[in-house]
Amino acid sequence: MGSGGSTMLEKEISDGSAEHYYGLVNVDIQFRLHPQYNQNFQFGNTCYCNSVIQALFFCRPFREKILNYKQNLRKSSTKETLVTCLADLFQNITTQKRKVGTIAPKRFITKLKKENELFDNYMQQDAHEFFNYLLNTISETLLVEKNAERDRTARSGTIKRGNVSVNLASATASLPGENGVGDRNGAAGEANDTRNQANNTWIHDIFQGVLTNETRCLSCETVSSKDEKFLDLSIDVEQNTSISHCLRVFSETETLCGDQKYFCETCSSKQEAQKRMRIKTPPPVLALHLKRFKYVDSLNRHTKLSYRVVFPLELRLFNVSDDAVYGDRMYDLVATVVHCGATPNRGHYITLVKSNSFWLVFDDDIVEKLDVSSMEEFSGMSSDTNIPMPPGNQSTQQKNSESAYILFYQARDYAANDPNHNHKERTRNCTNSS
Amino acid sequence: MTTSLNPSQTGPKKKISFIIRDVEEPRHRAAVSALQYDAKSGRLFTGGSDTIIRTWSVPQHKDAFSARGGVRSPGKSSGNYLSSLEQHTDWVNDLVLCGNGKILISASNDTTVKIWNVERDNKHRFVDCLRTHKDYVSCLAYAPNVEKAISASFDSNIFVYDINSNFKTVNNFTGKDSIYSLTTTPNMSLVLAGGTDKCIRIFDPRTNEKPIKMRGHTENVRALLINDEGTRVVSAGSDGTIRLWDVGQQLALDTCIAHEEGVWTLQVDASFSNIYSAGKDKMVVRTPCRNFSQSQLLFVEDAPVKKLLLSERENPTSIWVGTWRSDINRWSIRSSNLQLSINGDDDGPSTSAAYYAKPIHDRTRDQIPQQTKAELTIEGAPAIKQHKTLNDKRRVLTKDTAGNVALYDVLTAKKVENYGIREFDEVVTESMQVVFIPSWFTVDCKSGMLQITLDELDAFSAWLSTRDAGFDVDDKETKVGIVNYGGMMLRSLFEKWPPCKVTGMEAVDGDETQRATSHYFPIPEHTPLIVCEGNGRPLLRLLVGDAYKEKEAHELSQVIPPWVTDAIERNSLPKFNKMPFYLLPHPLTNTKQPKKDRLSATEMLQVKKVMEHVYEKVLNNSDGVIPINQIHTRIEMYCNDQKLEPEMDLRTVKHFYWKQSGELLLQYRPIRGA
Repeated sequence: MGSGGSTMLEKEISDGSAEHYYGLVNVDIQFRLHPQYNQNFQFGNTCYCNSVIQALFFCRPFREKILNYKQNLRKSSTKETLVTCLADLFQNITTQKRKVGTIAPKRFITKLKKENELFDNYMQQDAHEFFNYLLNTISETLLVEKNAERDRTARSGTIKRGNVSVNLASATASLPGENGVGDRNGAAGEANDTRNQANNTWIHDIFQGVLTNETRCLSCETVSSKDEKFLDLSIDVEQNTSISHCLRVFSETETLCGDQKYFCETCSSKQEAQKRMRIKTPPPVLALHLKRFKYVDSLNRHTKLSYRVVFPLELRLFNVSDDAVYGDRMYDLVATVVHCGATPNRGHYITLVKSNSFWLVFDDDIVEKLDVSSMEEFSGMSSDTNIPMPPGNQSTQQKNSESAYILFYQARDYAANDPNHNHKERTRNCTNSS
Repeated sequence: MTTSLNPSQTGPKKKISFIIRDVEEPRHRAAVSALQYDAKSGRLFTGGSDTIIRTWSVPQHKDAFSARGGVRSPGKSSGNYLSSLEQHTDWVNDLVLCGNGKILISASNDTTVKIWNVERDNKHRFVDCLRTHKDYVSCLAYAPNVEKAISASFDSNIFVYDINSNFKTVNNFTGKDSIYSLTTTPNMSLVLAGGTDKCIRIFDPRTNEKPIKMRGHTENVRALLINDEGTRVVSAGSDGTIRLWDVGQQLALDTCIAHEEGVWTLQVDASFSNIYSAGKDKMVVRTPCRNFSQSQLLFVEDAPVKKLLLSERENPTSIWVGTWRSDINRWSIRSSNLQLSINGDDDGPSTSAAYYAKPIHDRTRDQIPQQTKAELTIEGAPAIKQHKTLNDKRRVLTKDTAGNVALYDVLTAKKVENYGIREFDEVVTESMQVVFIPSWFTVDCKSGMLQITLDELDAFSAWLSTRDAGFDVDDKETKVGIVNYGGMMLRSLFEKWPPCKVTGMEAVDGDETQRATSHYFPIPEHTPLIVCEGNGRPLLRLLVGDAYKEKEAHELSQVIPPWVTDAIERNSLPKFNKMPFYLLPHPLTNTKQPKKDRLSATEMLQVKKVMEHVYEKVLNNSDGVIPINQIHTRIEMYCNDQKLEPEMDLRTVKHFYWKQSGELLLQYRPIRGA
């Protein structure tokens, strides 16, 4: 621990904050023969995991929940889950004496491979796929524990003082302002919400948003909308554009006509229609996934679109539909997972994070300060030259093909200490009748 | 001149449809979207979603009203039904009366433009069908000074026809995207079209140059009108606005925001001084051209308005309205300059005092309407809005706009039961039976009537035993017959067609597949039969009872698809499906080494046949043949631990008892000491 580089960083960051900056060692480093160049290569393989963990660590709401989780674990449950491993890792970092250093997340990686055979190999994986898997796993674990707690409480009949109590299904009536989703629904909607909220965890509180798919019949002009929940938003990318442009395209109107006419219930027949996807409820933390990996039929594999897509530090979400709860919402970029390399399988992931007022680059175990002005270098390449270059030039090529892949935007009005967002884990003070 | 079609030109996978309806349909069943009025003969022509164009004799406005402007007999005034023109197979969107009131042109979603002879004292008849378009034909226009008719479609094409040269296509323009509105000057100096690309395109037929575009509307342009001189255009759109344009300068002069929702239809008087507009918000509004902020609410209809038609363009006194409801209303219009007597037998609460005291900045909706009751109503009939095919795949339950629930029998093409006003879902639950028969037809109610369609892929999937089909079967009969609903239906539909009739007679003594269609039912002769392409474009429409006539029979043989002729001429039906399944002894039989047999049989095979197989072949019982209807005394069959009825067929077992993926598994259990 504590290479020369990190001592320098320590000196640079004398901000007096209690923040820790720990690089994550790539636990799977292999030296293998490069199939094309006949030379030995260092293949970094768990960076898909490291990069996402770093990004999430610097998503303050997420970090706090994980640390909270660790603290509130029942003493009796000694079962090791992916969540407990992650919590241990986070806690490890935050309790280090030194500000800067490196940690090898061996326990977490081992658990990950055991839990999901998809990751049980030495190959590079898709960071977005891992992100999805991680969120879903945490959510499922929390749900299982929440239901178990509810059963325990139901059996025992009392709520113990000081414990984290779980809202029983009947008690989770939709209170105003609690959750953007479904506040405006009628009675039937409320019953639905009760069920939905019974299945919600703080993962949903932080990352979940609602999309609405609107279809308008051009004959009777009736609009029918269907809501869809999401934990992250995957959008297509185009060359030499911006995130705002890509979000606009995402919400563009599609016309259903010709052979693709829409069956309208009001007209009882096929009519032309216009369809579009809009964000109805933006999430507190918006995880934006850029669809850079496309399957090409003719090549029979995935290729990477290194398109240059400029991303802003501040994002105002414009495409919020008319009846949305929040209207326009202002977001700040807090972390970015960047993919380096020309192909999906032989690339490398690094993370850019914002901490307090400055930016850092986490490249596995290496942590460096980043000048905000050089953020643009991670937008991608303006011309599509995916020529595999000989080994000596690989670092240059990699540098050129660094493209932002997953962007984490946090809503400016989302206060981490907001008591409302802790509503799912209200501590109840109950007196025991004895 | 009939445009005949080569069989080779038409696409593959043709379909057969028919409509279950009454002989006479004198009233509109669904929305009315097209209106034309012939003042000379006092006839109104109407068309709409139920595909039928109707002619009515209507009293003149002056005959319906006293000299003072009151309605003579309010509520009693109506139109008299004269005749129907029935050839279209989908919504009729627009009508144009031309050739001095002798010719009617219609445009439809069935992609055709049809020509009709509607001369006063002759029997109205179908003349010709123009197949110039490839998609829904949304609108028509007419240039009387040069006797040219124009059609426009979602295929973005505009065709000009010469009425006096047998409707020969004399010009063609192409717009961009789907066209929803069309207009032309009386001498066709300019043709204008608007649609989903939100621009109004101006075409010059003399030069055929690239069209000029006028931008402004923010949504679909749904209606267009140009003045006789070709200098001013009025447009209306889904953005709720009405706009006035100067053609020479190609710019918008004014915008009217009196409406709250999409405006779908416009009318303008001869002097281009007043614009009449209506659409989704049901308000019929009049706006002076010179002052777009002085819109006046004339009246409010009961449903969104699809079409307005002034009875006369010079000093209009009444206006016809077609809406989503099948009733057609005519409302009186009072000229804004008319001074009304205070005690007149006025028919509404609005008085001249109220009119002139109208506040300027009101929402249109807050104004007192000029009229509250129509002066004349042509009543319509209810339209079917909901439908559900019952499990017996023969009867369809429907609910119409009046709330009536009814039951139809597809095989007899008739309505069989009327339940009155009831909860649809309740009747559905009551009528469902536990039987599984594959779907063999699709149901459609876009015309407000039930349309049944058969296609090559599914038409013959409904094989069932004569017992399940409810035909009398002698219980002692060991061989149960099978029938095929699709095959039967085709026989019913083509019964009168000569090639079918001949071979049908022999079917009764033929083999099993032939007999499968011989139980067919006769259907009403007035049932319309439609042969169409896979995408729905109609090739031929005729009445079932006319199929024997020379002309119809010949036309039918030109378009009838091979999969139909195979069934009705050659008695050849696709073989029924075979289904694999596993046979194992039931766990309770304690067989040491259970032999798992994999078998294949027709899905129509009854359980008792499997029992027989098990008894004789699997258990090797050689103690004489047991009659099949007693086999259940020796063997029991189970599926998912449920005992099966011997009469049930494998297909039903799989659907109701197995209910999972993977091949069906049946378990047998011999009964000891039978």
